Amino acid sequence: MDEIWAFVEYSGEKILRGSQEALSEAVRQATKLGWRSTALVAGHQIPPRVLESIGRFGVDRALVCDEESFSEYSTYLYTDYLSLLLRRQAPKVLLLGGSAVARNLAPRLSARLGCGLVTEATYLHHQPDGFHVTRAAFRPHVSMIFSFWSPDLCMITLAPKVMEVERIGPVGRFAIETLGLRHRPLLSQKDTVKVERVVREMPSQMDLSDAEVVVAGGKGMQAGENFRLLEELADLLGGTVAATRMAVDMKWRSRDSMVGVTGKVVSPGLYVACGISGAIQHLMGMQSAETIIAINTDPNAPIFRVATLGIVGDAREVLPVMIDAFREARSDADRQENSA
Amino acid sequence: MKGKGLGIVVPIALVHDCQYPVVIDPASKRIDPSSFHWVLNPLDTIALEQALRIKDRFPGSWIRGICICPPFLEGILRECLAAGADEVVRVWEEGAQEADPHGIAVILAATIRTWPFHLILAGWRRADVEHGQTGSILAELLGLRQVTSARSIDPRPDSGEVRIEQRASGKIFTLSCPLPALVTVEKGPMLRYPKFPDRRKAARAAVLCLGLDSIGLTEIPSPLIRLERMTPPKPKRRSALGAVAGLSAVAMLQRIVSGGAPARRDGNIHHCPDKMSALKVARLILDEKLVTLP
Repeated sequence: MDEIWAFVEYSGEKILRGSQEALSEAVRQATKLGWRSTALVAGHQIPPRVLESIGRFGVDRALVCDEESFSEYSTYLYTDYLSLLLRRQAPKVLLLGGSAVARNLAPRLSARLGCGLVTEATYLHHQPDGFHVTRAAFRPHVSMIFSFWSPDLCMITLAPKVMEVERIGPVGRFAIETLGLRHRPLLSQKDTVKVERVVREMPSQMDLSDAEVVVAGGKGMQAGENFRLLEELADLLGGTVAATRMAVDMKWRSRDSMVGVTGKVVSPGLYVACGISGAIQHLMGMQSAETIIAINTDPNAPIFRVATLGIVGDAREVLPVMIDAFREARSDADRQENSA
Repeated sequence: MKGKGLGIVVPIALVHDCQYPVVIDPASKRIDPSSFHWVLNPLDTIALEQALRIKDRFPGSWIRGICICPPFLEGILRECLAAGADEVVRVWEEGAQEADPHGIAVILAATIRTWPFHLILAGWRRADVEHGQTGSILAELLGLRQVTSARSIDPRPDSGEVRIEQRASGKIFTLSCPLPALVTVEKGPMLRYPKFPDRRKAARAAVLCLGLDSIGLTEIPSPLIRLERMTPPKPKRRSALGAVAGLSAVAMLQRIVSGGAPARRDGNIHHCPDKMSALKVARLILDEKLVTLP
């Protein structure tokens, strides 16, 4: 039976979002085509909860490689190991979620195996000649549709946050097969890339232009200490805090967090403008954000002209309500995850 | 290796400037070449600037750019020379424009293989087609260590390694990698603005052009993926038309109306202080999957 594999990455006891998308898409395609779906997870002391979570996606089997060598990601070890495994088991498709590891591993692995790779896929469609993969290019002007020359293995990495995540609820019946590390890495530890230090990037350290979520404050926040509300919201949403020129001039925030013509130009997925009236100089720095939520006491403030959604009210009153709602949603999600 | 500095190779791609729209030919389902506005790949220019800074720090270093491009685009490549690259090599053969990322990496590897170098610095992807594959494939073909998506690069020739800062999944990693290595860059300072005398000098400089036979290849490598067609992207689904939990019919209508920019003013405003609006908006953000809670 033909197989479609999903490469699973996890952090702690949670499967990363990109891998959840890859698992869901693998199961969807396998169901449609009558193929077998397989999750492939490598690591050291893989928590049982990760395997349970994999089962909730409805895969037919999980291949587990639990070895000390996999305690840290290494391009060479993973490439060596996966290339041998893929050659031996010969699945038709390997899906990887959109992640830094996939970005590093997938091209190298495809070169080792001599198989085609399409990155940042937004849609997969099976045709008689194999998978046709849609991806964006020349943003935002073009969609490109690729197919593979070889009918053997094809590799696809998914664009982040595009594919729907679908769980089947309780853990489905699936086989867990444990694999061993049957060869030695080709390069000695001395030769490989070493991780010297890892620190968690605080929202305040995050580069504004990278952030997917930006929570910005202006004069309407009234005082520098009220920016802790913005920090709290940004922390909950995994984003960072920005400010208007006025807030920077008042010394409420540092200059490197300023958005606008003389500050940084940002284009996040979500921009929450709190107590910002929307001077043209500020709008020019943020109006290309995908979704803009504006909170301001003045219903005629120019910020509402560019906002996707607006709340007329004092940001200092509105933000605590939103923070509580997000906190509740997060604890709900955690509870659900733990009870599964 | 020349002098005591580092030898740095910077693969350069010429890409379409995505500020300008491209035209898709309805017959061939490919981009009409006349709609291209060619520029140096912005991420490759960041890699070049990183290389120039290393050259400033370690006198005796040299930078060689390499690009697969037709003769009529040679003028754009001279910008690299004007900025401070010591040499630019152009590789071209008719049909090279059809090569996929793997094919491009094979051509680059065949050219670079014979050169002495310490570092290959490249942008992590092209700004137009955004494959993001060539760097890693090149590292595999040359048997090099690789670090992708670097933010800062700090070579230490004395200890024969390079320190790299990389950001991923909300973490900052400091990595050390023995030389020689291939590093792809994601962010960094913009390419310096060349001085006028350097521009004049670059305009007169010779650009070495190599054909496939001079790099030991007989034909353009067979592609592994096939471009079926290009289409304009499908319009985005209006999220307001989907099920929106907790919104009244009026609020839904307001959202639909506010989808068009000119109608946004007053179109979609929730009035506080009942605080329910804030709650609704928070729910809406989650229901519409505008964010994924970390």
